[in-house]
Amino acid sequence: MAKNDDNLIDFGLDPAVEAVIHGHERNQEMRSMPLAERRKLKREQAKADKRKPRRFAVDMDEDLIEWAKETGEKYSCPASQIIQLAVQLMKDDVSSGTVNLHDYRVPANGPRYENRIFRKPVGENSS
Amino acid sequence: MYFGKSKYIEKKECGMIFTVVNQKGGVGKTTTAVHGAAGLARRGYKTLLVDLDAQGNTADTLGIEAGNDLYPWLIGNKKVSAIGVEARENLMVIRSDKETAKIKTILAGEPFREMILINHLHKYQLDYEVVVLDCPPSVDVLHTAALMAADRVIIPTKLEQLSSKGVSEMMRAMATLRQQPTCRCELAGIIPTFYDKVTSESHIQLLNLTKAFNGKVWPVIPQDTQVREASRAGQTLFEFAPRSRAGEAYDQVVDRMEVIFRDGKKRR
Repeated sequence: MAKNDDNLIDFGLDPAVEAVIHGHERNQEMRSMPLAERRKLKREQAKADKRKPRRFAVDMDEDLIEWAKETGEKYSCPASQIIQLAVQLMKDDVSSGTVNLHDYRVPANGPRYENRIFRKPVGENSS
Repeated sequence: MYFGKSKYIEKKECGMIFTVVNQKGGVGKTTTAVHGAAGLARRGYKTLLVDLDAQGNTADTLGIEAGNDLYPWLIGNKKVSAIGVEARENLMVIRSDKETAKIKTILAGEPFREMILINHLHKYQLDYEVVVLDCPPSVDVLHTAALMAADRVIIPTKLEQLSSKGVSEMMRAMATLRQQPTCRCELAGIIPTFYDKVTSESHIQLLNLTKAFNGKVWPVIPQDTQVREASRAGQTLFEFAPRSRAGEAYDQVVDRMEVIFRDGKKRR
């Protein structure tokens, strides 16, 4: 993370603040638009809002992100659907007992979570 | 002005101290302090919230009985565990009420009075990871003591014409205090509160703030009736309406506080 001259974290302009400023400016712009264009923009906004509850940001290893993107391209589908399929398959495996998440649990370093899920090298999971 | 060097400060370290301060009243200091402290407590950090304001609104906001723990703590040298109220899991509160005025009178004749908070925190509060100080809206001994004790300062400010002036005054006060060898306060963030998306006044003031303080401006807290309703119900927004606009904004504020806390912990 970037640091300023005092060696403190420098956030740059906070993304949340940026979003508020841009949101206001977009609304101002919309007011001066012709009605048809305004309606079109509103429809697009409504579509984006509808997708919002299905959006979820997670931290993932870069190589997995790359793999999902490449696989998506290979099968001409969005990367998010590849990840959704992977999670669905894992959900089935966890439900059926094929995968036991307890085997992958290691104590976390930070205070927020007690554990983290970590894939140990093959052969160590059963211990 | 020289407050001297406390014999306790160098010896022990307590958790990170966030001071929520603004000389102006009604800008959302208590709401910010309560939600910052409650948010960190919910994330598992052992947190101490100290109300330094004689209005005692912290207790009301958290739905706990009113009382004064500040007096026995600062003047009676009682331990927090003996007098504080565990308002939520991981959240201990030192309440305040009109009796707090007495503390100021007693302290008026004491040497090194501005060091009283930092001395008490470092002497007794070693087991709290985070301490949040909710300041009164006046420049008095407790206000100065809270700045002297602070590691990081959070300034909530209403998006009105005079708001950036108030923030600049706070920055000047902090610069003066930082000349003291024992003062280590740094500005963590400025929180614009009561953002009204309908009027352009809020927007202009927000732009002015970001021009002057850029990355130090933290997520905007929108005007939201849920804040008042949550306070009336004696609950935080995280409990009462977590998906409300203000609830989500305060959650983002807690994110920023958590990042600073974790970064500060690493550097120690």
